[in-house]
Amino acid sequence: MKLTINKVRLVAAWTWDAGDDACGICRNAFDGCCPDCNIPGDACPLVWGNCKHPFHLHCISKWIGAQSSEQQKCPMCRQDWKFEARK
Amino acid sequence: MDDITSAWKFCLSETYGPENNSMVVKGQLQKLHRSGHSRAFCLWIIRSQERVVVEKVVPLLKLMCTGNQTDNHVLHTLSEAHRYFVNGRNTVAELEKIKECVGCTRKFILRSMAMLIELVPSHLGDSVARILERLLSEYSQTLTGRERARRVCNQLVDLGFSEVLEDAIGSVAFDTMDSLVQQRTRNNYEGRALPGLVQWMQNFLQDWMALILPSATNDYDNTHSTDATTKQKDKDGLHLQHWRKRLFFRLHESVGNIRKGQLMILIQTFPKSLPALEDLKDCIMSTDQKPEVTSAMREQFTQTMLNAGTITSEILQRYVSVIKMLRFLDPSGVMLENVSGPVREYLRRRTDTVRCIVSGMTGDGELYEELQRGRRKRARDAEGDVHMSGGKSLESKIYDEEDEDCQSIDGYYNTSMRIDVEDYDNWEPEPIDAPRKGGKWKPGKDAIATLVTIYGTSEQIVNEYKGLLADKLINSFGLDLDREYKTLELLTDRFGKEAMHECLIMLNDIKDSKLVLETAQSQNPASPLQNFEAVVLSKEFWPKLQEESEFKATTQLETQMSLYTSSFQKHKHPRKLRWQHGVGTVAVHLEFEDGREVDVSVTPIQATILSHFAVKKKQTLQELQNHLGIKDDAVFRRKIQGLANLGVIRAADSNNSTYETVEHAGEIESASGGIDEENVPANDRDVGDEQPEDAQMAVYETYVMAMLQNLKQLPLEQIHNMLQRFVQTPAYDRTEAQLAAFLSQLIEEEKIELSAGMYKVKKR
Repeated sequence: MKLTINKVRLVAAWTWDAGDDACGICRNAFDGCCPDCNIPGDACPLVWGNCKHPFHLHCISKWIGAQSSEQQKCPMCRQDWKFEARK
Repeated sequence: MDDITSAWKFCLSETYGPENNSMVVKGQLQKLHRSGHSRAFCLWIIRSQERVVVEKVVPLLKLMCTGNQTDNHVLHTLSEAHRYFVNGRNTVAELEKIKECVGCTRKFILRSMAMLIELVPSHLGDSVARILERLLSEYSQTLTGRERARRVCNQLVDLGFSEVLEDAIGSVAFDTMDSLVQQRTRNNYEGRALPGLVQWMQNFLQDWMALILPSATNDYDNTHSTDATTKQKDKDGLHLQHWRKRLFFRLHESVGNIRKGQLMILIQTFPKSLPALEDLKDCIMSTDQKPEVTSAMREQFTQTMLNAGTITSEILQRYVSVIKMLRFLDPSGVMLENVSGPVREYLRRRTDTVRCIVSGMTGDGELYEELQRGRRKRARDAEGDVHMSGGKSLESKIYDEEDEDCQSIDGYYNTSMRIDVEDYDNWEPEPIDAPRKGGKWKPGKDAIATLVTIYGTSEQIVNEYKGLLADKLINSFGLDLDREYKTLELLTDRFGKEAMHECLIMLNDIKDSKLVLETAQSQNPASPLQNFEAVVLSKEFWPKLQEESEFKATTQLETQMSLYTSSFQKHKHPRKLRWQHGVGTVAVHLEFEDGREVDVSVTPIQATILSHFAVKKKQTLQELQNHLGIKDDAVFRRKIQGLANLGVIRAADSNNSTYETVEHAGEIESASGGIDEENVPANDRDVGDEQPEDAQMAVYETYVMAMLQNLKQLPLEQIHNMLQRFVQTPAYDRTEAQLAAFLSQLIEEEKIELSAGMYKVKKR
């Protein structure tokens, strides 16, 4: 038997690979989007703190925005919140 | 004195018989008048004329009625009798000039009529009815026929039969009309019959009836005072008017009755049958046939369509036609509501209804058209396009009416909850004949709304669409994405943005995946990514996919996947890709030693398995499993069995642990039967053809029983479909007829029962 592959259509799912399943702030799935967004993915990205805790960008921004500047802490571990640079 | 005697003598000799000479009589009459004998003379004359009636006219008419006479003979006798009678009448009319005799003509006519009428009920009816019928047909055909008919009618009228013959005239008119209606409506669905018939009725039938029915033109009344004449005229005009109404009603009724019997054909040929429907609409409006047509429609549709033998998509298609037809016949929607009940009830019981509705709406069929119409209407409104209804075709008229009702379905659900000022102003009472089975009367809806509301809410439809869309997006090569977007847009108009949100994301995923692929392809010009498509899902928004463990794919797939992955992760950093091995399609082309070429679509795992068979024709499962790195035996066996079902590989030993490629097509037959059958000696198999079949069917018994227990009742077609879908080992490959035979065997064994086309578990 001789085999030729003519066409391939494969399926994958993307993930932020955030380990935990849901955002600690909004409790929506990381791979979904925050409550203010409709479209997941680049329109509603994920960010990590230096503490390695991920959140929806919109969620953590709101959270940080509500705190006074010296009290900006990660809602999960209470360490000072710093955006981690991921490249 | 002599004068008087001779005058008497003269009159006695001359006045007898039809050939009397009235001028001479007149002279002699003068003499009698002067001598005062006029009254006696007049009475005598009248008597003598009455005798003519008794001795001549009555026997002639009796002769006419003695049965087996030809039409011509009857007509001849009639005219003879008429001649006698008219002569007598004219003679008597002469006497009117004498003062004492005023009114004698009328008396004469009435008395002789009384004599004639004694004949009528028993005899005259039949032969005259026959004549009348012939006259009527002649009347409508040629001019001479018309003249002849007029003459004979006049004779009958003169003889005073018009009133007694009224029943006969009526039934002749009805019979002629009915047969013409039959002729014009039978087998004629694509043209209107009614207008022509109405014209015929007005131009010929009513004319003809006016000739013969009692009317003001009867000249024996001429001598009456003007007062009396006008009074008479009014009365007779009224008489004819009544007949006019009766004819009109009867015509519509009989057209309606015939169309009513043709409903199924009209449904099947819709929209070509629109003209026939127009007939029916007119009939419904002019008669009281609305309830009859409604119940006829309901019965015919239920009997013809709502049975296990009709596939759901066909029922739906016809039902859509019915919806359109009924909305045309009765814009209030009452008829539709009354017909729909059993149809919707039935469709609700069929489990593939949702799927059929959804595939109808997304396919190229009528429902898709319906969806588009809603949108076109909106577009027209946006342009402020005001159209004139005058020059439009009937069809577009219907659709415009319907378009008014293309409302968003969610809007439709909410209206009852909201208090809306505009709603309040536009409120109208419910139609008087609206079905009252609890709840608010909901006015006419278009086809989509009607179908969707079979389930009460649109949720099921939306979910089905989602599943269908996901399936299509994942599995079809060369997808027309624009078309999918358009369909989605149309559905969004109907079901609302909220409900369709996930579908939109699914489509966006496909678009994004394509972009990533295009970049990847452009970066690797000689790329192995030709003929490769990938779908990257936002998996939170897709229906749950079948999870499957990782495996080591064939090199080609492996390269393609890693190229795509790196391209994706470069563009969408920090997102990562997880390949879903349970789904996806690979189209492979296989060439066998016997020159056979087979194109099949398989899953990535199966493609990999095949690639190993391409290297080595015969392999054990264990070897293969090691190649692919799949640990789960059951999963792996299922994949192998799937390939075996395609007829490209087969088990090479008795415990299914080694497989080999099917290089020669002739070997497939024995291979597909499976091991059990191979063990049966060949001659045994030939003799007891039924026996092994039963044994094999028995495998499906558990499936069937479980199905029926879970789903209560199912039609044959659906059991068949479900077996096809779910039974993999051994694959279900029977025809519906074989299944039916098997099921009837189960019925004999009293395990299940069949009622109204649905199979159920037999209750003990």
